[in-house]
Amino acid sequence: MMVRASTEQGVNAVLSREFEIDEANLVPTANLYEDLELDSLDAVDLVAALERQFQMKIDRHKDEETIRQMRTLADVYGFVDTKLGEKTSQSG
Amino acid sequence: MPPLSVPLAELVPHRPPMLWLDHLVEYSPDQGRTIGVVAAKHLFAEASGMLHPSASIELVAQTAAAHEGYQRRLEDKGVGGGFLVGVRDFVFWGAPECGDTIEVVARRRWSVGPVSVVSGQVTGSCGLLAEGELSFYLDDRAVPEAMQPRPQQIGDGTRQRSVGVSCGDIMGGIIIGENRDAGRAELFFERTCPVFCGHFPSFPLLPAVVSVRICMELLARWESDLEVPRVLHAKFGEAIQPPVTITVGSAPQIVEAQQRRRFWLQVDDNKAADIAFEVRQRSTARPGEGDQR
Repeated sequence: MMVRASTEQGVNAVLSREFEIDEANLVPTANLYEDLELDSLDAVDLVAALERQFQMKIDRHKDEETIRQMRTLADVYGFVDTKLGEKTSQSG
Repeated sequence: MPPLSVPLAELVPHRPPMLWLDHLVEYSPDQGRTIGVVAAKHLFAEASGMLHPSASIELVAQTAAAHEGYQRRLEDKGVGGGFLVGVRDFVFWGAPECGDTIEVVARRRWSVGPVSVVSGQVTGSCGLLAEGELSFYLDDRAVPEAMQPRPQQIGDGTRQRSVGVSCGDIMGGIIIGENRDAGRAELFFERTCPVFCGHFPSFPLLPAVVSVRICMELLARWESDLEVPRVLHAKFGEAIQPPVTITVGSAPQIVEAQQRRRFWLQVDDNKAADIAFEVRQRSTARPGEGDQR
C-alpha cells in the first residue's frame, strides 16, 4: 500500500517528539512493541496523539479493531493515511 | 423520561474522603454527567478556598467511573474496577471552589482492549474549569475481585521505613529527602494517610491524581516562578500500595519552543508514573491563551 510521504513524516514526528524514539529506528517494518518498545498504554497514547496531530476523528465502532490489530509502523502509516483519505472525501 | 439522580456511592468503589461528586444526573451509552458540591474540608482544598487544580483530573475520572458503573448496573453487573492509567492534554483553566456546585461531563470515545479513552470537562458556577483526555484500564470483574493486585503492582504493602527528619509533607506523604538542585525528592506514605481511607477501603492504592499533585507541588517548591497550565501527558503504569517510599525525579525539557517539566515516580527500581507538564512564568493570563488548540 502506498502511503503519502507527509503521513510518514507526521507519524514519525509524533513518535520522535512524544515518545523520544530515535528517528533512525522509525522504519516501516519496525514492530511497535518489540522494536520501538511501546506497551499497550503507549499504543493508546500514540493513537490519541495522531488524532490531534492530523485532526482526524477515531470512530469508536469502526476503528477499534483496526487499532487493536496494528503491529508495525507500516500499519500505523496505513491507518492514518486511510483516515486522512476519509476526511478528504467527506470534506470534498 | 424522569430525571436521573443516582448517588455516586452506588456506582463507584470510592468512599469519603475520596468520593468527590454526589450524583450521576445524565447517562447515555457514550456520555455521563455528574454534579456535586465541593466540600469545605475537601482533601484537595487549599488555604485560598479553592481546590488544587489537579483535582479536576479526579473529577473527570470519577464521572467516567460512575458512567461505567451505571452501564454495569443496566447489565446487572456489580460495581467494576477501573484504574486511571493516562492523562493527555489536560488544561487547567481554573480550579473548583469550596462550596460551589460543579458539573462534570465524561464522554467515552474509543477503546483498545481493556483501555478506554475518555474526554471530560469540569464546569463551575464561573464557567469551564478544566478539560482533557484520560485513559482507563477497565476490569470486567466486579469489586472486590477486580481490586486485587495487578501483576505490575508495586509497593509490597508491608514494608516499613524509618523516617528521618521531615522536610514537610504533600497529601500526608512525608518528604524524607529533597535535593532541589537535582530535582529529586523522596516521600513516605503511611497506610494511615487519609487519602487511602477512600481509595479504596478494602484495597488502598495511591490515586493517580495524588501522583500528579505531588509533582506539581514539588515544582512549586523548587521553581516558584513557574505555573502549570496543562498536563501534556501522564502514564501510570503501576499501582502503588502503602506503606511505600516514592522517589520523585524531574528534568526540564524544551520541545518545539514549549517549556516542559518531566517528572517520574519510582518505587525501588520500578517506574510507577511518568508525567510531563507544560510550564510557564507565573502570570494572571488564562491558561492556553495564544495556543492553537
